[in-house]
Amino acid sequence: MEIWLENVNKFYGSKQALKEINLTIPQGMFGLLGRNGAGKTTLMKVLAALLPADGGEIDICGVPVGNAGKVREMTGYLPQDFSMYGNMTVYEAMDYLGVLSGLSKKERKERIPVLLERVNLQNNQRTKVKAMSGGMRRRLGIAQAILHDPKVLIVDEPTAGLDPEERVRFRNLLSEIAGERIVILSTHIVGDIEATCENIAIMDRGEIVYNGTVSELLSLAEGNIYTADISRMELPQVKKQYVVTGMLTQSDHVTVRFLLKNPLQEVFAGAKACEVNVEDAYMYLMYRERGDEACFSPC
Amino acid sequence: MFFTMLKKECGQYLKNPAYYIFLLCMAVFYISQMGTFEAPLKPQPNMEYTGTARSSDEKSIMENALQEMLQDYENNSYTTYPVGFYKQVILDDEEQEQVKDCILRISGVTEQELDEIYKKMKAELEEISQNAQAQGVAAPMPDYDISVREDISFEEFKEELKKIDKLLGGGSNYSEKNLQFCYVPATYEQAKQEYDSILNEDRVTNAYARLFCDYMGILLAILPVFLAVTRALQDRKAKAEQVIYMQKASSTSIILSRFLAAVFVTIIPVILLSCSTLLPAVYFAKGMGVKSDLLAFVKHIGFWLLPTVLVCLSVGFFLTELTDSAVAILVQGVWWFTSLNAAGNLVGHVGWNLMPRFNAVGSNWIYQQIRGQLMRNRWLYTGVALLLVFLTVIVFQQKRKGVFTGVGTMLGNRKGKQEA
Repeated sequence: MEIWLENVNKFYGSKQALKEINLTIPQGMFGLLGRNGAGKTTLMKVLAALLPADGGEIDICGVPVGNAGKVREMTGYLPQDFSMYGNMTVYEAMDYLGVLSGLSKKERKERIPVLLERVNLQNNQRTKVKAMSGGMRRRLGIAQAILHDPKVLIVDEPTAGLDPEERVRFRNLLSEIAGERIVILSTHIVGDIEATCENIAIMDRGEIVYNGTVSELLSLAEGNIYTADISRMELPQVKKQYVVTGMLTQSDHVTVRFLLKNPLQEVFAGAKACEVNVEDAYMYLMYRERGDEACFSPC
Repeated sequence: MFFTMLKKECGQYLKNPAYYIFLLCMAVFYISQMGTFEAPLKPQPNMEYTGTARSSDEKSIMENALQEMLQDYENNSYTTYPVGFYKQVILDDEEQEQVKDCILRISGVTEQELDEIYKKMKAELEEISQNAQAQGVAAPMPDYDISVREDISFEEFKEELKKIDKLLGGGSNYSEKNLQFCYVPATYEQAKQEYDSILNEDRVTNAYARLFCDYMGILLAILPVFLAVTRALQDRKAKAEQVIYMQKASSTSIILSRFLAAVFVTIIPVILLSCSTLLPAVYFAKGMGVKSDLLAFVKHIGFWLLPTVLVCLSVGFFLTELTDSAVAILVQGVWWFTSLNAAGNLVGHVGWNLMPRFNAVGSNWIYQQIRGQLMRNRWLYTGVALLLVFLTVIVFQQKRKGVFTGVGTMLGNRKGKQEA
């Protein structure tokens, strides 16, 4: 059970949103990381048969994506800004979508309470959708996406706008759901990937710039990440010479975390090589791909 | 499964506040236009008034209009239908003078003679009223002792009345289209024939069903579009579009269930409302020893009003899916307004009009003349509605695949910028 894409392109007018995408997505959690506007949502929609690709081949667990009906049957999708009719209760929304998914009354009656319990909405069955918080809506979104027990679950930016507690809960929920499925998690938040995915792809400007495991990504940046305590006066100089990925200001000095602009670059006295985290590795990769531009883009 | 979808969609309409506004409008319109049930009066040979018969005799039309104008002028109360609905117009002194001048011109009498005519009428009325009270019967309204000029042509007459119609804001009884025929006192035989026709040919209920369809057709040619537009925009408004698109159900099932549910929740209240005319009509028929047609209203609603509802809803669904906007309300509104004002006469105007008119109880002979055209008209609109539903399914399907993003979006070219 896997998803593969071969030379997939997508254009919006003259703008190319996806460029020659080649990717294989195995079973389990798969993270798709990239800054805003990198093309993640477009790729998610193409995989969900909500947008047609302008070339290339896509196969979803043995079904060509052109067979939209079949793809919909085996795919659950949680869009970036999920919502349902505000006048419906949680249960009604699930029941309505269950009917549209072709579930029988018996199946709906059995599955809906189980899923609502799984996403911790069992006590909110009568809550109107319009009265739900962002986190609750996302959980409802997940419940509806797996209502018909799909092989593939596509989740687009699910944690954006959630508070830290909700975010952790949501990540755990996704990991639990993954099991025998393919779960594609698209996000621009590195922490989400770090906590849940082993296999990842990184997108930038419509291209896949990295495809592999998290540990391989970390090893790419190994030996290139340093930390040092410097005075505030020295900070501008350090920022100029290196790519600063983090800093902690403490009274008169600053603890900076930075990466080398190239492996041969000299490191100043007092700087020590440190353990690489996914954020460092991501920044390293983006710097390698895009040079100085990467340093000014939020990620 | 489709039946379950249909039920769910009906539930969606029942949760929509717009639906209850629709019901309220329908009830208010019905009460204000149809009013209470008025049974047809059985003509009596000794009665002076035995109803009316239609006449296209120019002399009769002119005399009739002059009589009406005199009465309207005296009461300073003019009935008009500027957009097909009743309106009472009251003129100021200067405008009343213009009406008076018109009366003088078309009758050829002097101002003093006109005053005498009014005085004579007043005296006559008093006498008639006293006699009627003594005999305990209703007093018939006498005619004014006046005639149109001998030398006035019908064209000249119409030109004069056109000015008064303009003064009244249009849609009055003096407009050219309302001067095509008039109703003259029917002979006893004519009135008896009409009465018998209501009882025997229309079996009472059919005569009232036509009047019901005439009134409700006006409303059902515009109001359902609001239901269609609000439902079709609901996905977008609730940001539920993509989730709906991702479901297994086919585009045909989704659109058809929404459409048929809208038809259902529109037609059922109409049928229920019709009962308030059907029941007294059945009761009256029973009293007259006539076996009424119990299904008359349902049949008329089915072949007369249903196509109107179908086309109105399908315009709403199609244009909303196509444009992702409420432009359908504007389009249907223009269509409705044009159709309403296109009616040359209110009894038997059909043609290809969206709203066939039959504003009368009875007149079965007119109905028999227009029946063929009415059927053709209704089949045409049913066909148009089915075509629009089919096109709506195609548009929905293309949007679902991301091939089409709606005319508004494409024109604005916003989607492309947002997606990446």
